[in-house]
This record gives sequence, C-alpha cells and structure tokens, in this order.
Amino acid sequence: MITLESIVKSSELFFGWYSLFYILVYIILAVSSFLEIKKYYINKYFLHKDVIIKSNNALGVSIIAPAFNEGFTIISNVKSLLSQEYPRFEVIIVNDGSTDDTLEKLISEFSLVKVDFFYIEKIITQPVKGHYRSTNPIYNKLLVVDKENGKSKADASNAGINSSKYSLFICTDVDCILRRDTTAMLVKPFIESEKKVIAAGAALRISNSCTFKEGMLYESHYPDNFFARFQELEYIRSFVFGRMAWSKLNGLLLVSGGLGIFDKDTVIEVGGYWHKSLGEDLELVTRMRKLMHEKKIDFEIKYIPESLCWTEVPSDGEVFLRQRVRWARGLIQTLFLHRKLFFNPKYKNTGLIVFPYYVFCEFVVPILEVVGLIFIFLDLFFFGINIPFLVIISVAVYCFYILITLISIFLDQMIHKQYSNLKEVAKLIVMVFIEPFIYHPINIYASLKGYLHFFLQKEKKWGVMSRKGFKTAN
Amino acid sequence: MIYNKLLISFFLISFSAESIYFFLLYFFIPLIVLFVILIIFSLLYTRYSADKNEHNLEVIENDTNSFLTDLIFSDYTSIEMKEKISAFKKQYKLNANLKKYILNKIIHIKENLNETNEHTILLIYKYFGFDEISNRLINSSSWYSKSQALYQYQNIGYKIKTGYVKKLLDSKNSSLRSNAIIALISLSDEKFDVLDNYKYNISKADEVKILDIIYRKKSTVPKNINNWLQSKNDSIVIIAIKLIVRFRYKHDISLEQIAYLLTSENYKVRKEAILAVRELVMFEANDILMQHFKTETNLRNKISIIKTLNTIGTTENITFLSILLKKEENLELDLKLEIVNFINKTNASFFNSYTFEDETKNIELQKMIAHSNCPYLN
Repeated sequence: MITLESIVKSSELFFGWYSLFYILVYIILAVSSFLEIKKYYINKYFLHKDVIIKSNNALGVSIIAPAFNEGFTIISNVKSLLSQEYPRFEVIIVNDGSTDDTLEKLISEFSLVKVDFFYIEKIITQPVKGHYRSTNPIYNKLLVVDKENGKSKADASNAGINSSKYSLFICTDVDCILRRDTTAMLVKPFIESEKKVIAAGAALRISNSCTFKEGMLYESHYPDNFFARFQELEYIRSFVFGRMAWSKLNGLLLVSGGLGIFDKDTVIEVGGYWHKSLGEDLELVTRMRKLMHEKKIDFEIKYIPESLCWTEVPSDGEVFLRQRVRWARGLIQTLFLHRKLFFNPKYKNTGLIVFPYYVFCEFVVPILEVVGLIFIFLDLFFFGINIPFLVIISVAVYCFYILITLISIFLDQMIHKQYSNLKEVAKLIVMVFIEPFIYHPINIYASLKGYLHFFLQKEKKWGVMSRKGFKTAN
Repeated sequence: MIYNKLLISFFLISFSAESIYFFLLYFFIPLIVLFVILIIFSLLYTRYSADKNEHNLEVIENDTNSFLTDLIFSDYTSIEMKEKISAFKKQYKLNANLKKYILNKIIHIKENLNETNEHTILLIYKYFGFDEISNRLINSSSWYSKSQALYQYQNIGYKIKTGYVKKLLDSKNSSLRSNAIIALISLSDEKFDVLDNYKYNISKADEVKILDIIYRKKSTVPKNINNWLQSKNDSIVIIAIKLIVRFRYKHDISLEQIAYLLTSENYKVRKEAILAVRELVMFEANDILMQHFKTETNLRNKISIIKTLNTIGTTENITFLSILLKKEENLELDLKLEIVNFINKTNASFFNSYTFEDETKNIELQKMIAHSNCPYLN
C-alpha cells in the first residue's frame, strides 16, 4: 500500500534528480552563452555597422510602435525613433484608440494630415480610422495609423504590419528609447547569416533611473526603485545569459515584444500576432518556428548581446504583479496551444529541446517549488527530515543561483560597463544575494496566479501602466 | 554479471545521501563560493580601476586626437613626422588599449575625410609601429587575428601587403576567405578584376561590402564585365549589374543581355536586371519587360516591373495592364495598387471611363486612385 511516507520519500528522490538535471541544463546554457557572446565579438567587424549605415542597398525596415494613452511621452519618444541612423526606414506609430490626447499631440507637433492611404488588411485587425502623414518633409519617414482600440498590443502591431512598406519590421513599444544604431545592428544578422533569418532581438535595459538627452541615453544608473532593481537583475540574467545561449543553440522561442525585428512575409504567412494571446511575442515566434519546420526551411533566430533599447518597467507592486500574472498566463497559454510540438520529432529542435525546456525548466518550476516546500514541511513534522542534509542542499542551490546571476552580471559589465559608478555596481551585487528571498517568491506567486487564471479562464485584463517618464539631462 | 553488480554498487555508493552530503559540503559549495568571491572581486576591481583611469584616459585621448589632427593636416616632412611620433611615444606609455585607440582613430579619420593624404596616413601607421602589429596578426594562427590584420591593411590602404592577402583567398575558413577577398578588392589596383577567377560563393554580407567599395572608392568597370554577366556564380552576375548601374555604363548591357538575365532561375538576378532597366532608363527594354511580366512568378519582382514602367513606360502599356486589372480576379492587392498608380500617373483621365461591374471593386479602385493622387504618400 502506498503510504504518505513512501510518497514523501519518493519525492525526495525526484527533487534530487530534478535539481541535478536543472543544474546541468544551466551549466550547458552558461557555456553556450559564453561561446555565443565570444563568437559575436570575434565577428563584430566581419560586417561593420557603418558599412550598412552608409549603404545605398540597405534592406528597408519599418519600425512599428503601438501607442495607447501615451500623451505624456509620445513626442519625445517619436523623435527618438525618428533619429535612427539608417538609410531606409519608416516609423509607424499605431494609435490604438487612445482616450487621451496622444493623436492630437502627434498631429500638432509633426504637422500631420489625414491621407488616403490604401490599407490592405493582410492580417485582420480592428477597424482602422485613418492614416496620417506629415506635411513637413523633415518627418517624411513618419506614418501614424489611427485605429479603434483592440484591447491588445497584438492587434495594434498587426495594423502597423499591414501599413508597413518594407520587408523587415521592428516591433517596439513607443515608450522604448532605442540606440541610434539599433536598426543597423538588428539588420546585420539578416545579411550575415547564410540561412533564412526570420527574427532577431537584442538586450533590453531598464530606463527607470537613467538620464536621457535628445532622445538618447546620457547616463546609465542602477534603478533606485525596489521592483525596478530586481527587474534589472532579472533582465541581465535573461538577456545576457538565457537568450544568448538559446541563440547559440538556435532555439530562441521568445523575441521580446520590447525590441525585435521580423521577416514580414513570414509573420503575415502565420497570421501575425494573435490578439487573444497574453504572451503575443512568445506565441508568434512559436508559430513562426512551427511554419519553418513544416515547410522544411532551414532558418535561424538570432540574438545580439548589445543593449539597444531602454524601457520603463513597473515600479509599483500592483502593476508589477499584474504584468507577471499576464506573462505567466501567456506562457501556459502558448504551451497549451502548441502542445502538439512537445517531443514531436517533426519539429526538430523546437519540438525535442526548446519546447520541453520551456515545459520542464520554465513552466513547472513555480509549481515544483511550492510542492517541494509542502513535502519539506511534511517531512519536517511527520517523518523526521535530515536537517543537516536539508541545509546543505539548500545552501548549494542558493550558491548555484547566486553564481549564475553573478556570471551574467560579470559578462554584462565586461561588455557594456553599465552604471555611472562603483557604488551602483556594488548595490547590484548586494541585490543578487537578497533576490532569492524577496523577489523570487513574489514571482512564484505571480506565476501560480497566472496559471490559475488560465485554468479558470478568467477574463484577461491588460490594465494601465502608469509612466513616470524619463529623466532628461540639460 | 559481476560487472553489473559492481556497477550498481558503485552507483548506490556514489548517489547515497551520505556521499552527496559530503560532495556538496566539501566540494560543490566551497568551489562555488570561491567562484562567487572571485567574480565579485574582479567585478569591483575592474570597475574601480576603470573609474580611476577614466580621467587619465580622457586626457590622453584628447592629446592623441590633437596630435593626430596636427600630424595629418600639417605639412611635416617624413623626418619631422618620425621625430614627433617618437617623442609622443616617449611621453605616453603606449599600452595595448591606447595603441588600439590610436589605430582606430587613424582608420576613422581616413574613412571619413576625403581630403586625407594616403601617403601621410601610411607614414603615421608605420612610424607608430602598427605595421609590426599587423604583421604579427597576419602571421598568427588564429583566423580572427588574421582578419584583424586584413581590416587594418584594407582601411589603411597598405597595398604592399596584397601578396599576403592573396594567400588567404583559399583559406578553409569562410569568414577569413571573405575578409581576404574584400581586402584584396580594396587594395588591388585592378579592383574588381580580382573577382574574375573567384570560385567560392559570395555571401550577402560580401555583396554589401563589395557594393560599399563600389560606391565609396574610385574604380573603373572591369574590362571583362560582359563575361561576369554570363557567370555561373549569381553573386558575380548581381555585382556586375550593380557595377554597370553605378557607373552608368549603359552600353555595357544590351537588350539581349537583359532578356537573358530575366530568364535566370534566381529571382535576385531577375530583380537586379529589372532595377538596371529602371536606373539606366532603358526605354527600349519596355517590350521585354512586359513580356517577362507575364511569366514572372515573384510578386516583388512583378511590382518592381510596374515601378520600372513608371520611369520607362508609355501609354501603350496601359491597354495591357487595364485588361489585366479586369481579367485577373485574384490579382494581389499590392500589385493592383501599383498598376493603378502607373496608369493614373501616365494618363490621369483614364479611370474616368473605366468601371467594374462589381461595385465593391469600383470603390476599391477609387481608394487606390486616391492613394495614388496623395502627395504625401508618393
């Protein structure tokens, strides 16, 4: 007869093996990430970005930025997007039914007039009310699309894709500040690779405490807000460590919604962003990968270890939790929707490696952490746990976690030399040690809540992100 | 059997709770703690030294910039220049980072200012001893170092090293081979003639780099450009067409050749041929293009043909295209828009008497005409 004790004892064995598996996965990712970053820097001058910037034959790029009630920062952000150093690009701002003065401000600042744009709805979206172009030749790269609110960034992005004229598009958020060479840097993988590149991305940084001058980063500071501090840490680990490793293994399933460049034809062929998705960036890339495997096309998705984009992250608990719940729900939604991929050899590395990784090392982790805790307490109260062993195992896991984060920071500092002084770097290091006790449990809570909402089919809510705007240098 | 038992015992001992405990306590945790301390120390130390040296570095960089500007834009004799550089080297200890900075600065000045004297740049390069650094790099075993040397030779214009560069054209490493061919095109007096017998594939990145040289450097069209147009290497064909367009050597490409290029299986070659007709304003290629339009399978190329007609087309094209608008039910909207735009631009009153039986199509047509007439959209 299976007793509770035998279940608890078996679970100990399971968690032991799972931890070992998890550590091995992260060691593989660490090595892959290091190799990919090294390869990037070795090849950096293979095709110098200046050659692309000066080229008369550059690939055309449409920069699409949906805006919903962004009146507070819209003007400076659009000017920043327009100041890209690239020979062939357009900026498409999609006003997604804003209820504030976003559109009015755009019309007045950029001398916009409504034009008879022939809109081809290759991807179905909410009705488009009109297109606006500037009468001032200085802003001839700007196109504003005014549409009815679709309650999702996906719908607005799709309207932007339908209105775009170039074969590549960058999807970003209108509040993002891009480095001037972002477009040139993102286009590089499409030129350098011998395979068909369907998407590429780069590192995002947190803008909360940074100073900007004329729409460009002036001084980089470590955030002083509680949530932003931990998110900075998380972003570094995620972009420098995780994404670079998956880029090396050609297994990227996520190109961030904040900054990503895509092959337009492929995106249109898969039907664009899915407006019902809560993780539309993850879901789109999954579908694009699926299509490539089904059509048996050798493809690549690349990430570059450069900080090309600065974005404002939630700085209060409520907004932060809402965002994380949505992300978790987006993850489970995508995994469930594309469950056919799971261990399906037809989808090669996507089905055999990437998808299982997302299931076993991303999705189940919050669940296992809680279940593990329950078993520990059961063990502790009823079956007499080996306390020295528990302590040693916990310390080992904690140390490994710290090491992984520190390696990410080390690589990041070697590459970018972020932050204005030593004190800020020291603060970042201190955060590494307290993150597992404070920030991590909040994330676990948000993930589990997201999963629960998915199973209960709760109505999705995007909420409003209150923006503080940027600090500007004189 | 015994072997299996031994293996199982080993397995059980290795993974017993006790052995894991001791492994973690005496090996795993101390090792990780050691790494953690090392990383923290190097993070803080690197940053501390960087901050400490930042001011000094800034001063040295400013001095270097002024010094280089003075050297490049003054009329010093080679002896004076040598003495000045030698004094500068004595004043500042040139560590690896500063040397890298100076070399990059020289390259930057040469690349961005048209008025620089190539001979002066070469002398500065040599007197600083950068030629020795480049030599060491090109002779090293790493392909990356060799590539760095090629980058320096190419951008400084160190033609004397062309022989070294040629040796790398058959390298097994495709990146190094690519860097070598680009450096050779840039350094060689014959420029693009070096591509004559190039047997390897030319990547998209190479194409971009070659085009960069075509547009930036003074060069002439290769003597046997006609052979290039017949090449089996599509990349060579594309570069040949671009060269002809760049130098406006209309007489180097005949109508027969355009017709031949349009039969290529590679859509990119066909695209270049269409662009050449547009850029060279080859009115006489109108019929060939219209014939090709009927068989072209690539949508972007079809659109490109119509765009080309905007330059070379006549009212005679309207008949064919207007019939096409009515006949082809499932014509792609992008193409349809381009056709309407061409007809509207060629004969503004044409659509006054042109209607579809289907009213929705008439509405669609009117929207297309409005788009075509909008001054801010074209």
